[in-house]
Amino acid sequence: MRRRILLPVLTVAALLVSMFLAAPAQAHGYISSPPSRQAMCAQGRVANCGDIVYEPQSVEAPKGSLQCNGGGSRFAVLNDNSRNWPATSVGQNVTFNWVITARHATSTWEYFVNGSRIAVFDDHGAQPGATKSHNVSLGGRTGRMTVLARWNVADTAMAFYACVDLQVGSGGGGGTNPPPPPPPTCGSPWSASAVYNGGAIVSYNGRRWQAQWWTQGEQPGTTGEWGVWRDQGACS
Amino acid sequence: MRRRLAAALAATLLLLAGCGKGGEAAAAPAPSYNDTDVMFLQMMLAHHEPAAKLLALGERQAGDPAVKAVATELSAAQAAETDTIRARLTSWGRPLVSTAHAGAHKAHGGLPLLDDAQLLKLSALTGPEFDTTFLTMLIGHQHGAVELARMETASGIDPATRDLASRTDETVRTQIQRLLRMVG
Repeated sequence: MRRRILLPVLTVAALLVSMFLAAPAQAHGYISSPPSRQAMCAQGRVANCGDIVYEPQSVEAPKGSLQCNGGGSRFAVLNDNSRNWPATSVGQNVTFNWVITARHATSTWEYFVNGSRIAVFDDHGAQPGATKSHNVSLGGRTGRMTVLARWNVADTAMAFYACVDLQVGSGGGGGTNPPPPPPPTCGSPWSASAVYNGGAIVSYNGRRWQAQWWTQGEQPGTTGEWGVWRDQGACS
Repeated sequence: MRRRLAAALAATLLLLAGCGKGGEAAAAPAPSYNDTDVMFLQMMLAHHEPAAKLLALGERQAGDPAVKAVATELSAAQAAETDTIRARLTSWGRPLVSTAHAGAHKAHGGLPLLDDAQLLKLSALTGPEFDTTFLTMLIGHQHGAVELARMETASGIDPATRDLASRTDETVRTQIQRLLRMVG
């Protein structure tokens, strides 16, 4: 009789223990903006990514890897540089935003470019909120690059990995959008008597105009869309 | 690892259910649903509760009309789904809230994603900062619904509940696509 009661009790106890042991692996997250490779897959901007579309938050592997999939057995597509990952245009300071699906205690968040660590944020074991943002300076690097981010969980051997492809300008812009181009500079004021060859630039009525071919005495803005003077917009 | 957790939860529920039912269970015909079905429905209800608060906040406070529209749309869809789920659990004579949820939250790092403190922090934001944080929280929360749905389609047996789960998997992933494009 006692044995019949004891067995189920032990079974429940064992199951409860396994639930708690299972707990640490449930921390999840990835970078949503600028979009990481798994975010590109999950939003359908890159096709044929495989299982990652169901769980972009699950790129989990032992700490210490510099591969986009963390060196694990799953999601190798993330390491494939031939996939033409769209690069997001940014300035020198980039805000990386994380989607978090489980708020696990965190040791550090690290960011790498070409194997060099460019930023680290130490949370000293704290649990993140429902979102996380980091402002990272790219240290003067410009051009196309892949930033690897690692979210190191505090009390397991695991980390979450996300690679973000960027096209980096030299500006100091803080957002994920490129700064708007400055208005073009105005040329010399148009003169009715001057002779202009194709390619010449003048200003007229606060706008910039380019001559398409040789012209004299034709007022900009009166020659139509296909006329000699091509409107290049407001200028300063 | 997730499968082990789901199995553990299901088995625990099974045992708990077995304890409560006593002798009458033996006489009843085999039910057309299993414990995964019950757990899925209960966890979806638990999942919708903080989402309703989040969406209400979005409807009230979003700066961008497109973000506001998303909040309104999801809030309506979720309210309808909540009614369906409640009705099914009630018709099965099962509780709407399961004691297993405490364990589930523990398994997710000890804190639910959207507790009141997180919502309060969000409510202090305005403009684009509010919109981005709101959308990012919503994406994270909705990934949880996909996880639940895929657990149900893997081991639930009630056809209507499995159908709800596969539709949830599809529609929520489409939502996530759209939300990611809005923040990216």
